[in-house]
Amino acid sequence: MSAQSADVLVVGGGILGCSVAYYLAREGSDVLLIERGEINGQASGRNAGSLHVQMLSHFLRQDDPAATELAGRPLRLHVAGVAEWTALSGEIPDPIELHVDGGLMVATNPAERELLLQKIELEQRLGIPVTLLDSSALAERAPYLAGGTMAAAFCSAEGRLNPALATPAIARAASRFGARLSVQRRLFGLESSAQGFLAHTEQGPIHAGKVINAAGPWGDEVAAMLGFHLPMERFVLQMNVTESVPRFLPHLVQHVGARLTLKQASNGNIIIGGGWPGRLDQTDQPHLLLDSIRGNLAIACDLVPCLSGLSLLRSWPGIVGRIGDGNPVLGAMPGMPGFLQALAIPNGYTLGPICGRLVAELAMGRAPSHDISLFSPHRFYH
Amino acid sequence: MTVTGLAGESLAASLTALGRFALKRGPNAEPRGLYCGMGACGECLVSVDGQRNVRACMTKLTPGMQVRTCAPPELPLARSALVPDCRTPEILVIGGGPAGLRAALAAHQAGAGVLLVDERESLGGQFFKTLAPSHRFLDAVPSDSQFLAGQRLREAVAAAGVPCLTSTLVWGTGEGLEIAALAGDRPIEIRPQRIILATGAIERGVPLPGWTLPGAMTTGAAQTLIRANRVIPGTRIVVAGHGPLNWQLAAELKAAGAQVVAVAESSRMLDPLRLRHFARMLRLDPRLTFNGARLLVQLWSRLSFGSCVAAIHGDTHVEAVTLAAIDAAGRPIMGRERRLQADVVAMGYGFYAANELARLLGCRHRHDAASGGLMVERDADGQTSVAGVYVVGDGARLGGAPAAQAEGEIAGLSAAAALGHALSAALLRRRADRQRDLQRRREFQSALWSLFAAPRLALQLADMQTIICRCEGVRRGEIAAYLTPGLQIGGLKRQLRAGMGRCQGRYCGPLLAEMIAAPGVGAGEAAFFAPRPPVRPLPLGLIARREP
Repeated sequence: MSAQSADVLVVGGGILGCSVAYYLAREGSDVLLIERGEINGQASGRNAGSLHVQMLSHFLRQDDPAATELAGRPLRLHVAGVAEWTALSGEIPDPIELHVDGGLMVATNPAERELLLQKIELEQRLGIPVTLLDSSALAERAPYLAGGTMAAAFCSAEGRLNPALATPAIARAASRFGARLSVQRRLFGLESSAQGFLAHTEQGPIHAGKVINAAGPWGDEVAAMLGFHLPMERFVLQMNVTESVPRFLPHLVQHVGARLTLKQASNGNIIIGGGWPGRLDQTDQPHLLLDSIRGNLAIACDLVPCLSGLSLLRSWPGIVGRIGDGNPVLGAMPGMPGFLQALAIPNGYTLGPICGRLVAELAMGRAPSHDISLFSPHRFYH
Repeated sequence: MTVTGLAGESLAASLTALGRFALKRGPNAEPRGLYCGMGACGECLVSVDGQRNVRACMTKLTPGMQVRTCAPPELPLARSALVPDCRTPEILVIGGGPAGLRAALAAHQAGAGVLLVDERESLGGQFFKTLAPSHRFLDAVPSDSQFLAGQRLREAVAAAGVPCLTSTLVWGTGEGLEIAALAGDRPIEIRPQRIILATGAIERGVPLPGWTLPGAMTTGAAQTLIRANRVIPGTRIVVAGHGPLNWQLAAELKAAGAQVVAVAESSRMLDPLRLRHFARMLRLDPRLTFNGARLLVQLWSRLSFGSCVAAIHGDTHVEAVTLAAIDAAGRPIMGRERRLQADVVAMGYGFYAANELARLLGCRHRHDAASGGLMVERDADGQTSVAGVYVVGDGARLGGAPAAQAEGEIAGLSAAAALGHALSAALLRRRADRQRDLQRRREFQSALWSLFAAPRLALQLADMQTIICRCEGVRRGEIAAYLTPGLQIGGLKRQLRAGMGRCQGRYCGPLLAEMIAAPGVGAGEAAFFAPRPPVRPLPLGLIARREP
């Protein structure tokens, strides 16, 4: 089999890989993307499509304000992430069902309200557009919530999109700019050479000037091919979807004291998730846990009572990953400037296009348009 | 509307008897009606006493019921999460048709602690349909052997005191062999040591122009109307499909006074070369073979062989059909087709195993060339690749009710023995008898389907405008345009929404797998939609449970 070559080889056909390929190809770079399964086949195609900005409740540590402070630092990137999605939806021809109608993080008791106030204070200091809604304002803004819901933080920058449509739409846009996409193509070895890199795949070798690791939860396996250890944990999250009903719920709804995200997709289905765990078996296959379905739906029905009469159509699992501190890992590995990481997990869908753009800028030798020093892979290799 | 009907008949039967075929709106607001007749497709949903999404085919009419159309959805009713019951039988049998009833009875007789659950209000399944309560005390009580055999088996199960839960829907599976179910509105958790799945089969949907029109239904749906509810659907009925079940329906309709205008049979079973199969059938089961021959005589003037209903016409309901011959690949031969006035079409092109639970439990499956669906792998006792899980009856391999009963009995006895209940000499003899009987039943089935050999219809009748995914209204042309090398069924589903609807991909899944698979290559398990709970759409409030 004769060798292929590309200026830039992107490994992984999820939202990060497709975004990097899009931004590179748009600027005229010669890009080849390889994906071992199908485009958007893993977490990028299975997540619930939330555009998150507000700090997730599990990062809020009343006992450890310093840890909370640290966890707040990436939030500005999330605001930029939503803005990037908005810009992108205007650039690419296919619809992605993007709506930025704001998100609520709800508190249902005084302790949760305290936590919410602490969170809002931190976020406002960081310039995140968040305001507190008390119970009467909330009843007006979100009449679907259970009566007596105490308070909520409202963030105007939050929203939703349809990840089933969005990733393939970006992949198609990248192809139109000349990016080559090669699916069902597994990478099984990478070596660095004087000219760049040699990638070994099931369908023959690829010579590449640069390699971008966008393998998501399996990014550690790609990094290990060049001798780098990334402290990856893989785990399973579950999502649930109801039948389609007329639109009544415009917001992304979260809970400050419990694991919940819910929203209504353009089609009318309610998508319910929030970080409920599934199970990963020894063969890396994800499985659902019944108690996670039950618990997740209970919180959803308590907060939005009219959901309890809707039919659950399907629950499904997805594999996600987390590297060390849980922040994105963006940029070159130490001593190997041509091997760039484009890993934004576990909450990567919101950050997909912005991180894709930043890594594309690095790959083209430009200064990144946001400060990404916090996300450098160097932090793992002191 | 005011529904008048007989208390105890299915709501679908009452509505059909009134000539009301359109029951809900499809994805593009087009009318839809009773299709599968067995609670699987979600096409007959109505609102009853303010509760949405009630399946008319699975719900009995009671006086004073407020029945409304379900679309547009009304404000949902709040329900409360309840604390579940926990049951720990030694053996759980899921499904109360011929196979499940036999399995439960045999395991119980062998001394095992058994629990039998079934989704319906009464036991018997699709084959031993019980007469609707509306007719139980009338003179019209049927005396045919199918009814009587079902009644005897139910009575034997009741007399033996086998614990049974009816109106109980299993919706999920968990670690170990945990089973999550709803008994009516009450959540139940069942933790058995062995599971015998006897979940039966669902009819294959063969898409053709007009097949979503109200009045177009499966043979099983029409048979439940006439057999269990004594309701004749429509006034001019066309029956189409493959195999003797359609003939039985046509004969039952005729006997009830219905006008059956045509029976299109896809096989060319009159071919003299096939006489030897008939002879084999006669040797293996003279009574069944004789019954079949009698149907042939009764329906002779209406039967056309090697043909199909190639299109269904009408604006808001069935008005006419096009009957056409098919070639050796199952494609309709146009040019000599006939158009017939009809208001009901019943179609039966074979079955897919209802394997949702077996797949959720992780039992290994392989492609089944006969149906185009998946078939579970199992040993001679019916045990699957997952230790302790057995599959029996048509849910494993289509073989008809006698074979299903033999399989049920063998698995019931084997599962009991595996739990340490020593089988008596009489039970050991019975198991050996059933094994011999099963062998004979399978030979009979093999002869029957050799006689009825026909091209398997799947996509041959669908043009590019034909809906493949009924729930989401996805047409063949949209799917064809999206097919690219390397595409998997998950990607297709996410992009086009095919399989995302209320039937949960039951009817379109195997067709999509076939469209994606390389020509001539059987689709493997990965080519089908991944199994997902809940096994049927259920209200969130009935599944939800607060963490302790």
